[in-house]
Amino acid sequence: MIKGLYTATAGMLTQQKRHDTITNNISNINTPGFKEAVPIARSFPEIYMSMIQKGSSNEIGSFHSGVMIEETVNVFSPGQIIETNRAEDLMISSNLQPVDEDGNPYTDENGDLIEIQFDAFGKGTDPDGLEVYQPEVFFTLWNADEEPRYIQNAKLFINDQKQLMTEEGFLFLGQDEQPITLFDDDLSVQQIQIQKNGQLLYNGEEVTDIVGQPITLLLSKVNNPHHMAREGNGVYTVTDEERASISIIDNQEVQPIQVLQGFMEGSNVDPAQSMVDLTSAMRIYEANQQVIKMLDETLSKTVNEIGRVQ
Amino acid sequence: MNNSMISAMVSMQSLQQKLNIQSHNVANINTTGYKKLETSFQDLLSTRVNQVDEINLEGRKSSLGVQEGVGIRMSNPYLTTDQGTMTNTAISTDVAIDGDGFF
Repeated sequence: MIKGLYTATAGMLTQQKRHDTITNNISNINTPGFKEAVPIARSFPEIYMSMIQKGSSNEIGSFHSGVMIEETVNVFSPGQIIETNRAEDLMISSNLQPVDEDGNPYTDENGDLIEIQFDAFGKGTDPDGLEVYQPEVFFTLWNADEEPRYIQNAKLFINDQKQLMTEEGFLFLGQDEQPITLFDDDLSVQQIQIQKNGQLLYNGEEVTDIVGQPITLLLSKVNNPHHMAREGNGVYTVTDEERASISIIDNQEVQPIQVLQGFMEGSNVDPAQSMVDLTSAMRIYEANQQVIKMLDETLSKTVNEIGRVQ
Repeated sequence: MNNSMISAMVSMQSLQQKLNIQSHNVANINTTGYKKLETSFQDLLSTRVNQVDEINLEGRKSSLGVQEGVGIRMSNPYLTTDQGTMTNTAISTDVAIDGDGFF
């Protein structure tokens, strides 16, 4: 009975966490580039029970003593692409296939390229049956501590030091993995045309930085985007460098990656599904609440009524 | 429970700000030379709740830790500089600029 109370409590806490996650998703229905977070529930590890009676023991079986939210996984499906025609709005659109450890795309026995299909979480299987994830492409930024951060949807601004930055002050990195500083004093964001590979042009000519090099925004490919965490302001940080496996994208590669200027990606949250999930979380919470109530009534009988002498 | 309520409340405040700006735009529909203000949202700083190593079970997709967001904030409203329609008033003291430029 007491075990049941704890199981039901764990159930309620799980639904509460699920509710919190879905509420945040719903709040972010209009946030550009927001990726839905899906709470994943998991049972507590199994416990085997055996009944010990007068020296002999009978195995009863196993049970899970509760449920918990194991993790919240970001879904990287693309949101709707909205044309804003504002020069500051930048987004990345990509649809990459994963590569093996040597950097080669997966091929079948004949040597033809295989197109791996991915599920909602971007998970697919390679020809050997192992798990692979769809890589995602990000702009590379520096925060105030010169640590790398990653973003897919950004607004471009030029600060007083002629550096390219996002609205919150994260600096865009160039091909030399250093913040970009413009050479030209008078250039405004509206005058810059950013090409599909991230290169900056002004009236068809290359925009140069203070050392005279042409500027191209640094794009990073993250092979397993699930090992990144959202920090807020649209910016991602890496939580497990080895498993995220980030590599710089070489401009010369021909890949389905596009940097789009004047476009914005909408959030990929589905409001109808989120409302249904919210209602379901509430009802399961209520069900667990009922379980606690029933167990409490049974306990009350045990404590108050059994063996009562009147 | 509190997290949901706080998150929703914070988001409502930001949405209220957006409503204020939209109604300001609507109120100025007939103002000459008015440029509308537009807004966009950003998500707020998320926290990562640490998890103990025992929770790192097989089949897990992401790194250890559960993310919690707390809603949205409105980023700085920006002035759109699209040209409005020119109307011929036939009054000689009315002047308007066609293209980028200010008096």
